[in-house]
Amino acid sequence: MKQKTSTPDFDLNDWAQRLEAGAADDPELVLARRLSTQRDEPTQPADSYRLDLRSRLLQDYARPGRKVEGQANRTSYPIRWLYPFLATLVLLLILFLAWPRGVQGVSAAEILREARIGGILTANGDVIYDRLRLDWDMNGTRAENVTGEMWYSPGSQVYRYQLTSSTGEVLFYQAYDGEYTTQSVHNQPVGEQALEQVYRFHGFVPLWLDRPGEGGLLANPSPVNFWVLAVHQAMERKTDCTDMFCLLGLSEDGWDCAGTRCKYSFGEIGGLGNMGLELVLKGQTRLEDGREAYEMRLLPGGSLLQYVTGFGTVYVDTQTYQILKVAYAMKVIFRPVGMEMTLEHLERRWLDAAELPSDFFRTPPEGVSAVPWEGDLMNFLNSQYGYTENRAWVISSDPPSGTRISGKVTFNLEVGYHLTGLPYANLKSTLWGVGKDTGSPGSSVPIQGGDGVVQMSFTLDTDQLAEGAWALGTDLGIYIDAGPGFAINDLTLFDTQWCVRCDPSELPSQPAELGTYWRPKIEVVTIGQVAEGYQVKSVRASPTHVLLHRSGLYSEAELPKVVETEPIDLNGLTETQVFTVKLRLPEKGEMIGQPKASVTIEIGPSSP
Amino acid sequence: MSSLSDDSSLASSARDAPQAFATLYDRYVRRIYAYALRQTGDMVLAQDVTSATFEKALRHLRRKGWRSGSFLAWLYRIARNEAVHQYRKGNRMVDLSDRLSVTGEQESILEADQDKYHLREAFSRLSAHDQEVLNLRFFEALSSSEVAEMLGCTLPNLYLQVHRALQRLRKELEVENVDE
Repeated sequence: MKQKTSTPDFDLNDWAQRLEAGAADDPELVLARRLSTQRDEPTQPADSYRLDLRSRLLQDYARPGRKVEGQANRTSYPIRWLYPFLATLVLLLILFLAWPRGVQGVSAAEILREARIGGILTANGDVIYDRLRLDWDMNGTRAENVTGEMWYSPGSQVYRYQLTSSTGEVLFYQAYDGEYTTQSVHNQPVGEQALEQVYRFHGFVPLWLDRPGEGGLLANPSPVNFWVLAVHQAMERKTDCTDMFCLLGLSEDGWDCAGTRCKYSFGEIGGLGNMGLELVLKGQTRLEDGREAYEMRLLPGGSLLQYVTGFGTVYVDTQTYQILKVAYAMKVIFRPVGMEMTLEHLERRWLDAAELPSDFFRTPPEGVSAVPWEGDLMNFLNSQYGYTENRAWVISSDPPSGTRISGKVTFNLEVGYHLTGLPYANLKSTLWGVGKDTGSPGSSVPIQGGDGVVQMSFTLDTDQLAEGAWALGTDLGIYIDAGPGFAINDLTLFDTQWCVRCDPSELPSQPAELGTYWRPKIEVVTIGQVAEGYQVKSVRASPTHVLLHRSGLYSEAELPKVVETEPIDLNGLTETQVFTVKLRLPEKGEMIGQPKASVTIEIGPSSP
Repeated sequence: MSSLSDDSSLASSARDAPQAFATLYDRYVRRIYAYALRQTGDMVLAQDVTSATFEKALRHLRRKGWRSGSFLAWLYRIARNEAVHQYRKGNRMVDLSDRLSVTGEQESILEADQDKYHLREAFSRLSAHDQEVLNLRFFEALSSSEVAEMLGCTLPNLYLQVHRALQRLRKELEVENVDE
C-alpha cells in the first residue's frame, strides 16, 4: 500500500513538528519562516460598516420566524439521543462496508481537490497554452501519439485547438478569433485522415450537442469532444480554470463528497428532470505503463440514467493527480458509445498575445486551406447529427442481413443515398469496435450532393472478436453484441443492426433505423370549470418537455411540437391540486422515460 | 490565534443567545473583512463578502446549532466560498501574491529589498491552490489545523500540501535567482 503522506526519505510527521516549532533546518522550513515574517496588519473595516452590520445581524436574530422549526417540540430526552446513536451505528457500518481497501486515507474529495493543480491560474499573460499527448481508441478507430494543443484567452474570447498526428498531419482543427469560426466539417477526427480543408464562417457556433443525453463527453466520447467540453467548461465558468479536472467539470467545485463518493447535480435539464453524475473512488491500480493511478468511476445519475447506461472511468496519477486515462463503455439511449483515451498533460503556460502571429486564431495550419462558408450554418452543423434530410440506406446486401456468420465474411452492399445538407460526403465502410480488430477496412466512396446508388463492401472476421465485444459502424458497419453466454463466432446480423454513416454525417441506414429524437412541450388539457368564486391561477407540468423517438421515414410535419395530457377534470375544484396524468403520445412516437407527467393546477379565489 | 474552546462554547450558545453571536462577530469581523479584502481587492466587494459570511453563519447557527471544530476556520470557509461566488459573478479576485507587495510609498524600500521582490515574483508563479495554502497558513495566521479544517482535508494532508507548495516556491525562487 502506498502511503500518501510519506516517502522513504521524508518523514512528514517529523517535518510537521519542526514546522510548528518554528525550526529552520531545511530549505522549506527556512522559506516557511521567511513567509511568516511577511505578515502584515489586517486592513480594518470602516467602523460605520462594522457597527451597521452588527446591528443588522442582531435585528435578524430577533426577527420572529427565524427560530428553528420544531425547537419548541423537541423529542423526549431518551428518544432524542436514541436516533443519533442509531444513526451513528448505521454510519459506522456503512463506512466499514464501503471502505476501499486499497485507498485508505484518501477520499474522493481529496483527489478532486489535489487535482486542482493550477486550478485557477494567476493571470500572467494573454493566452493560455496547453499541450497534451493523446492516444485513443474511439469505437475502434485508433490513434497514437497525437498532440493536442489549445490556445485560449481566459473566458475564451479567442481560442484555437488542434490535434496533430505524430507525423505532423492535422487531424482536427477549430478556432475562433472573436469574429470568425474556422473548423473542419467533421466533428471529430476521421481515423487518421489528414485534414486538408476547413470552413470559415462568421460568428461563433460551438460544436456541441444540446440534446439531452447527447450533450457531453459522456454521450459523445471523442478526443475532440474532450476539447470542446473543455472550452465549454472554461467559458461557462468564466474563470481561468485550465487543469484537466476543472475543464472536465470534475473540479472540486460543485461536487458534494462523502468518503469515496461524490455527487454532482446539473439540475433540471431541458425540462427532462434533474440530471447528475456520481464519481466513485474505486481504488488504486497500476496502468500498463507502470504508473500508479487512482481509479475513479464516473456514473450517470438522476434522470440521466434514463438516457445513459454504463460508466466511464478516469484514472488519476497518485503522485501528480493529473488525469492519465479516460475510458468509456456505455450506451446512450439505444446507441453504444465507447472510447478509451490516455493522455498526458505535457505543458501549460501563459503567452503574450504578441508572441503569436496577428491572425493566429483565424489562419489554419500550413497545408490546410480555409474556404468561406456561406450556407446555412446550423443546417451545416446539424447535418452531422442527422437532423437534415440526408439519408443513406442499404438497398441490398450479400450475404443478406440476418445471415448467421462465422469466420471471415465479406459483405457486399448496395447503398442508396440522398444528400442535400452538404456539398459533398464520403460514404465509408470501415469497421470498428472497442479494442478489437473487427475486420478489414472497406471501401470509401465520395459522393456529391443529390441522389444516387453506390456499391460498397466490408469484411468482418468474427474470430477477431472476443465474447461480449461490440462494434458499431462509424462509417458503414454493423452492430454486434454477442452478450454474455453467446459464442461470438456464430453471429446473426439482423436487419435493424445495419447502420450507415455518411461522412461527415452520421445517418441511419434502413427505414427501420431511420428516425430522430425530438423534444415536444407538454400541453396540459383541462375540461370543466372550477367552483364558482374560484379561478385557475396557473397550470404547471413537470417535466415541461418529453423526449420522443420515432423510427422510420418521417417528415418534420410528423413531429408534433406539443404532446397533450389526458384531460384533467376541473369541475368543482376549490383548491390547488397535483395530478399525475398520462400523455397522449403521437402514433409513431416512442417515449424515452415514463409517458406521464405531474401537473399542478393552482387554484385561488376569483379576483373581485 | 483563536481560543477554540471559548469559540465553541460561544457558538453553541449562539443558537439561543444573541450576545454570544455578537461576541463572536466582534472577535472576528475584522479578520474576515481583511481576508475578504485581500481576496477581492475591492472594499465594496469585501463588505459584501463579510456581510454574507456572517449572515450565513448566523442562519446556520440558528437553524442547526454548532457542532464542533474551529469556528474561525468555519468562518473563513464561508468567506472563501463567498469570495469565489463573487469571482464567478465576474468580480475578479486579486492576485494573492499581492500579499507580498508593498504600497507606493514603500517602493524605494522594495527596490532595495531584492529578496522580497524575488519572493513575490516566485509566489505569483505558483498555482492558485499553492498560493491559497501558503496564504492561509502563513499570512492569515491560521493554525495548521484550522487551515486543514477550512480546506476540508486531514492535517497530514495539509502538511503535505504545505510542504509541496514550499518546495515549488523554492524551485521558483531558484529560477528567479538564475534568471537574475
